[in-house]
Amino acid sequence: VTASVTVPAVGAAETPAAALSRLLAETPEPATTKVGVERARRLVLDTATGRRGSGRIDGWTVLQLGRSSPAIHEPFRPTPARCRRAIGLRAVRAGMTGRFPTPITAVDAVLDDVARRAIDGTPMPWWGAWWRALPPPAAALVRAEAITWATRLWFALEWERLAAGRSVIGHFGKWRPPGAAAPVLRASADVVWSTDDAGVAGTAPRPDARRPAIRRAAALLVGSGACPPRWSTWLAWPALVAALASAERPTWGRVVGWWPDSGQVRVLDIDDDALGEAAGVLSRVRSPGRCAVVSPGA
Amino acid sequence: MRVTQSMPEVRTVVPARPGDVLAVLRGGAAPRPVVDLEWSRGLRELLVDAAGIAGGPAAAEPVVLADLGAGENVERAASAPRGHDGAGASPSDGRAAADPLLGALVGTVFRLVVTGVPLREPFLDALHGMAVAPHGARLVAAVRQLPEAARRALAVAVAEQGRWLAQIWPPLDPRWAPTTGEALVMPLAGGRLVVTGRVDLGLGLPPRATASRCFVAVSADRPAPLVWERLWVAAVVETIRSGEPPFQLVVVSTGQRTASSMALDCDAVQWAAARLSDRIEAVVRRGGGAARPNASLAAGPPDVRVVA
Repeated sequence: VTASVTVPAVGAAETPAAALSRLLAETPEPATTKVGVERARRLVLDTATGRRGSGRIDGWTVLQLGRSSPAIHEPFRPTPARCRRAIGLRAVRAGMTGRFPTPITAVDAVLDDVARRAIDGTPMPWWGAWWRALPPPAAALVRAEAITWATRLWFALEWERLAAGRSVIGHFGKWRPPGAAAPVLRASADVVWSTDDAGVAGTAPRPDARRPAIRRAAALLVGSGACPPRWSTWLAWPALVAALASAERPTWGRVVGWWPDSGQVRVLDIDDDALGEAAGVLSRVRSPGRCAVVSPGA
Repeated sequence: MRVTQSMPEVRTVVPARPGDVLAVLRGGAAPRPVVDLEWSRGLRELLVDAAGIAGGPAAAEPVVLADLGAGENVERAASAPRGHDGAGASPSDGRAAADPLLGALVGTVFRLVVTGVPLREPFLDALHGMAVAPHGARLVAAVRQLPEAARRALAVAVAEQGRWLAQIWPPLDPRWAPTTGEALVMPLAGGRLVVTGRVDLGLGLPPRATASRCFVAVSADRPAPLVWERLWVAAVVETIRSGEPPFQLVVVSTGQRTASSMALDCDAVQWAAARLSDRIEAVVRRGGGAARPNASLAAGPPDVRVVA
């Protein structure tokens, strides 16, 4: 990846939350071009053509490449660690409405909602039935994991600083290449922040209506453990999927990776080379059909 | 730079009611450390220097140093050798202090209590909880393989300690942002050396101007010095990852029915970092300068392992 790859400098008086918020709010305009997106699309299609199976490839799959972990071949089953992100994202999203003052109350509201859906018979999230079937102590540990995860994201950003734009908590992208046998590309980002040149996405009038608005968007991905060696590919993956899925010019200018366990932060400014790097990773997935066992979205 | 040479003062109380624990968690009136990111970077450099001798050919897998709290309890419990009769130590003969199964189960009970779950049968509650945790299946299997008498004794010990916890633990204000099972990771030497940990309970918001977090460890089975050692490592990692040391460390000993606290200042964290630095350097030297994948560092301390 020849894009701007940096370990951001944090000012002496800047807290980690201030630094992360600044990195999102100061995202550059997207440096990707239509030619670059088309090149990445062709690379994906060339790689996907002739693949057997209709599996899907997501950021988790990308993260497993180059690792000796056999987890990629294991069937997916929910665990507290796998559910915490899904529950936590819903909780933070609920918290941003202002209805819940703390991560704990927001997580409890999410879990109460699932319990209510089980009674009403309305559709539940993918982890809902599993969670409901757990003995109470095990269900409580899932709740505890979700609270810890949600608390970290809740306080990771200075949300008031991001109020000038639109924050989407839990963004899920998908692109299905033409052809039934090709794997579906999926990607998620924990926060996607966007703005237009008027400062307020989609609401405020642009200063010059004759000039098309330049939308800027940045994504935050929350990792676990320490930053992996292939972090730039992991960060580029959701930008690639967003670019392929978008009929318009891509808007993601930057993807920020944050590993709260270690406090590490990595920044990838998205350009054509970054998309190409992410598209090239498909050639390393030997059997996309077996990659169906990936962590589902929330 | 002035470095405190002796262990910071530890205050121990025998809590009888939730208010006693609450007073411990709130801490004393001592001024809290001021957030200083430049200083925390200096701490990191100290550790980077210690790990620097790990230079040379990059190892295929990192050396992982330490593991704090319940996670390690589970791993120890699942692999702990049992007595000749297949039983671990019995809770009544004093050897229970070394039984990692007890530590893992009480650690789970602590997490349930902290998150406000009413205990019914602490032993069964802990087993149910552990069943969905990482390594939980191995732990549950290890408990099932115990002879009846040993299993019954373990259940009694977990029930006694769990009920004591439920009796003295206060409900926590959600505004304290309590987090349980929080992982800490500090990669050094380009990721060839990784210091990891997990605290049973973290309280307080991320840094603004002064230190605001408190780390709590629960100990059912470990000697106090080992528990403190691991909390000090956690304090150093927290300082480096967030720029702010915890203002206080607390050990809740369910075996001894005590709650001990240690107020931290920058000197104390510096002291802990120096200890960790010595330990890292010793481990790396014993390991021959570079990690060997899939092999144990035979001469290293018992809590050093190579990730397989």
